[in-house]
Amino acid sequence: MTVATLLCALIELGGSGHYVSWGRLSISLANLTVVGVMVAVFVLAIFLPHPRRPHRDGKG
Amino acid sequence: MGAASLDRNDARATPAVPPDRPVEAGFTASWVYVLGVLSMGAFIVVLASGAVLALEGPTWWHRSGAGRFVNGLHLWSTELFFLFMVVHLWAKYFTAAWRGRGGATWVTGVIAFLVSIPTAFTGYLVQQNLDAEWIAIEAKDGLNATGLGAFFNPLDFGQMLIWHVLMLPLAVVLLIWLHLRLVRRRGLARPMPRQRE
Repeated sequence: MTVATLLCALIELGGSGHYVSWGRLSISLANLTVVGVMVAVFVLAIFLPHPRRPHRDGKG
Repeated sequence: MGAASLDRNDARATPAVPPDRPVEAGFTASWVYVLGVLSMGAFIVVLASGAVLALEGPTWWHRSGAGRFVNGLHLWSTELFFLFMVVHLWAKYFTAAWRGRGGATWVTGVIAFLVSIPTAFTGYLVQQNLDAEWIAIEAKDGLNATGLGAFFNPLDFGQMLIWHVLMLPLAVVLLIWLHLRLVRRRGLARPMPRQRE
């Protein structure tokens, strides 16, 4: 079984979309995932140490 | 730290950068300052893969393995372009990057983002499949409801193709070029200092 087949089994792309509803709000699971990834990238970009950042020794 | 440096409206910016040197300042040593470059990198892949698709044509991108791969590359690089661009926008918004001399840089970035949306949208209309026809009909209804249907006809394939492969990408390229030029000439807004407790 190839990796592609495994991924296809995990994520059904051929069927109808899945939606998450909360009151009047409704968003597709795919879009919600993308929003979640964007938030995660934003948080990681803020907190992950950058190679050029000088180490803080508490004296600065 | 003096009281003057605690001013949240600190308008100082980094000095202009000569063309042969990278934009470097101590505070740019953060992954937040990499997001703009990631957006541009994704956009270069979008342009390159789009150029190959335009040269080869719809039969190639629908029927051949290589064509499907490049078609997928074009889609996913566009997804990444928007993903990084939106996170870049968040970062610039929360650091109030328009302070000091950054106003024009911020505005050109916003306009580039807004022009990128119809650039991607028209891509859905030129796929040459049922998906494209469905989206075009729905878009036509939407544009008619706003009054824009008098100027743009998503059902007109020729018109949408020219918008997608020429007019809008050219506008995005020019806006990004202007945005980068402003970054280098006017510098970056320094991070806002922390307020004293």
